[in-house]
Amino acid sequence: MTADHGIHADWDELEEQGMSARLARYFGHSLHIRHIDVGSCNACESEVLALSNPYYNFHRLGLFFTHSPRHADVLLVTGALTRAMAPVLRETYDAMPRPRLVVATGVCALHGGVFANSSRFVGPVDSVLPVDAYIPGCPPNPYALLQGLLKAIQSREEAKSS
Amino acid sequence: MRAEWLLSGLASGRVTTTYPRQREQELSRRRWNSVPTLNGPCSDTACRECSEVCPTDAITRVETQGNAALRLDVGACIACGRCVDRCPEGVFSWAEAIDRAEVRKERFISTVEGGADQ
Ligand code: SF4
Ligand code: SF4
Ligand code: SF4
Repeated sequence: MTADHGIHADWDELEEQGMSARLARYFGHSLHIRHIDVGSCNACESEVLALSNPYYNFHRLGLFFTHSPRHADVLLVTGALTRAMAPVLRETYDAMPRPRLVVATGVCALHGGVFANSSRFVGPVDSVLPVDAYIPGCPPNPYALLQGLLKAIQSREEAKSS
Repeated sequence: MRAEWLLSGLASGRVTTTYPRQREQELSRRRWNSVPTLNGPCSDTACRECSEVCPTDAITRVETQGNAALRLDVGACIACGRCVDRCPEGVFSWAEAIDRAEVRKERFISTVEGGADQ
């Protein structure tokens, strides 16, 4: 009855299945992430930035930030999509080379959160772009962000094999 | 010089997290209250507290006979904690898994049915 949130999902097993090998195979151990803020309160940004600090150190998994969408494999979208940012988000997505992944980050990107009733709010990110992974939380902590990025890679692989 | 620097780093106890490799150990180091979870059905027919206090309408309460079916959408929850604090029946609590992410949004929705036998 109680929802299982997968606390026992075995990441050790996943490592044995070769998550790092997958990263190497598809992205040469260098998955580049373009982060775009489409109307965030900036709390999500502080968590996203924590990914590259020495503690969370996501570079050890072969993940990196890039400033240009033309160099990016993943688009990490934070914030409630505003009318002003909707065309910019689309342009950023169009500028990305394939294969490209989109990760919606934070309740704002998933649902609208506290801004859902705003007249400037366009809608959740998946109403304008195909989304590969969703990360809830307001803001999501860096572990959830890592989980979301890894899930996005997995989801693409599953879609490919089916 | 380099050895000194290394030793001082070790002495300060600062480490890089090993997540996702040692996930359970990493997550049990600390507790964050970041995602609520449903523990059971609601049997208070007079109470409407949770669906009224939730700022993002993440909780929906559907009246059935005797008690109510509850629907919680974690994808809409901002973790304000009001439902956990205010529910007199202790239906909501903080989830252990704080690193939740899914490839489909529907997976964030959990429900408990009403019904006296549950
Ligand atoms: S999800 Fe929460 S923390 Fe993130 S941008 Fe929206 S309001 Fe801010
Ligand atoms: S923690 Fe707050 S936002 Fe989340 S379901 Fe409870 S009342 Fe709603
Ligand atoms: S706050 Fe608790 S007792 Fe009240 S309606 Fe919600 S689940 Fe039922």
